Amino acid sequence: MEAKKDIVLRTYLLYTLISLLGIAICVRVFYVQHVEGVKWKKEEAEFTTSFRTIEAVRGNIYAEDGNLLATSLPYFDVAMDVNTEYMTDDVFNDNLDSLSICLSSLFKDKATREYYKLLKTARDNGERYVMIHHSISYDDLQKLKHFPLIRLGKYKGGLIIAQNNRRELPFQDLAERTIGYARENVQPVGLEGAYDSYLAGVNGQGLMTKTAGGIWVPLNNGENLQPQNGCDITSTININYQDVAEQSLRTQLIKHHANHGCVVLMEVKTGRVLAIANLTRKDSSDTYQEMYNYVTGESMEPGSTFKLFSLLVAMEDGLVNPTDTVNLEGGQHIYYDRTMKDAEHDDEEARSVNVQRAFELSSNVGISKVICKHYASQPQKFVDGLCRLGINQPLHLSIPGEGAPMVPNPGTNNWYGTTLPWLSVGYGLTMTPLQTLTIYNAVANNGVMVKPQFIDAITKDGKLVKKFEPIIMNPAICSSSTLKKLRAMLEGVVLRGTASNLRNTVYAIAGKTGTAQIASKGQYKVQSKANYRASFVGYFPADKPEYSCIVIVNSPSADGYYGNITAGPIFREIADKVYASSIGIDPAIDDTTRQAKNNNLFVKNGDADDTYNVFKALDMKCKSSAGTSSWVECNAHDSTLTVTGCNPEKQLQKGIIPDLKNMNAEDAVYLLENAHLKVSVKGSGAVREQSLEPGSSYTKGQRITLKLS
Amino acid sequence: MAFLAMIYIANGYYAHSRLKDLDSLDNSIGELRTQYIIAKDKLMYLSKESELDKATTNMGLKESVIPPEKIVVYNKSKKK
Repeated sequence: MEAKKDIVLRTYLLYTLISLLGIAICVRVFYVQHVEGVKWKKEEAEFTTSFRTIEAVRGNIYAEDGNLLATSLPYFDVAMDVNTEYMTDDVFNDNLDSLSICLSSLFKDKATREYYKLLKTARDNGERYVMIHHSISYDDLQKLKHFPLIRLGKYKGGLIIAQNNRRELPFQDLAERTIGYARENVQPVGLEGAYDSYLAGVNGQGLMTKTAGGIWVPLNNGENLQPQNGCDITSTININYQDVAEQSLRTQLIKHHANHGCVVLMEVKTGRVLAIANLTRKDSSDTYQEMYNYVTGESMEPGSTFKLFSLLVAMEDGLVNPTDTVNLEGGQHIYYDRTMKDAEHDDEEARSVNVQRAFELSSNVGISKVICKHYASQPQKFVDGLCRLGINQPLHLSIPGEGAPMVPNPGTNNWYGTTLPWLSVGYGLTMTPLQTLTIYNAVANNGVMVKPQFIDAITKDGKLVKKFEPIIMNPAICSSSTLKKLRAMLEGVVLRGTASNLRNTVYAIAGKTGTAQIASKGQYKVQSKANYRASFVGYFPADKPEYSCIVIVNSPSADGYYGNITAGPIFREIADKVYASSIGIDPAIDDTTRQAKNNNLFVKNGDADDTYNVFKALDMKCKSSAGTSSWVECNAHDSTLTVTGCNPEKQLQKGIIPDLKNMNAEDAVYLLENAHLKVSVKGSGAVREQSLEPGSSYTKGQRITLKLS
Repeated sequence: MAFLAMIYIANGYYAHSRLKDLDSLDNSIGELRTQYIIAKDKLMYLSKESELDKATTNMGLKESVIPPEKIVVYNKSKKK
């Protein structure tokens, strides 16, 4: 009994102890859950959930033809943890040499020894973050991943990657300045800057929770803000034209060792800018880069290209006619204390010519004399006329950084007696190249002045958000009779004037050269070539203008400096290229050429119905004496077709080989095989020779060879 | 009860592994898109006319500056 009591007692004791333990656990659980619970839950939430920004993808910029002009590409900052738990001394030391060699050869920024030292010291100092290289491309990252040590994997290799998005221009420097950029705290440039609000999109934000394995999962509590990706922009730039423009500009700039230059190609009817290139020389070398948008930004003295506007105003006021005569005085005329000179002295022409000729020769004396004759007493009228063209107002372009024009005003302190004559030939006022082009474009566009546009449409996920239609700035810059005269003058410049080197037989160019002196500190230095600005502005084809273009070459210092030889060839090259690739631009071949081609007509002999069908489809008339014959022979002579009947089938039935000459292969083979001959055919075209003579007899199964040509 | 609990746990694991898959697929989409853009980028640059010109001069090919002749078909039946 004692023993039994003892056991029971012990059991109770054990039971009590275990129960107490259980109760203690329950109490503790309760305490943790409900007393400390709030604190722990908060801490848990902080560790595993957070508001995270979901970055919006910036929109792309496309060329007119769908090529990518600008897009976002990921770039990577790579660093290494050289003290991971799994990276043993053996592993590290075995790979360090080869890794240093690889890194050095990939990035080429540090010597092998430097990389070696960098990694070695970091390892010895117990560092866990060594910067290897900033913003490397995806391609380089893939190579890097296969380097010794790094290829051992995330834990042994210790590679740390941080991804950033950067703007990438697939065509590199093509229209780089016009595509531009938008960065924080920097003046916006180009399309990226102008349409930043569309391109950028809106970053989203969401409450995310971290699950095992480090994956962030959105918590669906309705407060999430979805990111709005940026819109895409389709620009008006045509990559092929842009390419030609930039290439030929670069070639000419190098040839003439010029300081900088620019080109714009515009569609006459819509004002769409198809190509825009701006190149600046770097230092004194022969490398040129897009550094500044001269086309829109550089407001400067236009020089001779301005003469068109002077004459436009004068003709519009009814004061001047292209047939008026003017004495060029041997290319020199004195106004007050200054001498106006012509660029070239041509003795024969330097006397009395008409205004049209003075313009074609780009005579400063001629144009300034004509303008002064009529406006010296009323300069305000001249300036008002110019302002009606809008040259005193900027174009208000969408892309930022437009240069402001400056036009002198009579009655102010800086209006002198010499201002008017020099103004009439493009000095003493400033305007941007694009402004000049806009007015020339208006002349080409029957007087309708359209605003230059860089953007065609804004789209989002392929859906149209905004379409940019042509904007008419001025429905008529002048009367149609003035316009006609102006265009005749511009055509004359290329036909027999200063730009006759641009003349060609395929299509006509109309335009105006300019060779302006560049003022430095208010002085024009005539001696040095480097102080000239050569330009050419015009449109083509002259009779039905489709495209207008301006070329400016600034400070050419080698191989000539006149507008026709420095800027002209660039214009010509672009025009040639554009003309060759524009399907609609070339006039149809006229009827005489078509007739000439008809004379070489050749029609194969063959099945009658087929032949008639072909004639019918091509709308060709023929004289037929074939009657109901099912086979015909055709003869073309002097563009009349005569068709006569024949019957090779019947001859074959009689066992005689017919004359198959000029018959088409299909019909010939049909006939012969029906007569159980074995036919082999060589060449293509109509039958020229046959191995069995016409009129000879044949046996079934005999072989006949037909030669076609 | 125990059975239901097991199903519940298994379901939780399953869902989690799907999330993991999703995440890794997302990553590979991103990577493939990058590869695509980079490849396209290179192709576009190389197919630019001046680059083509450089590449084909050795082959004796030159650009034509003569506009092509066109054949215009007037469809009489559709023309009113």
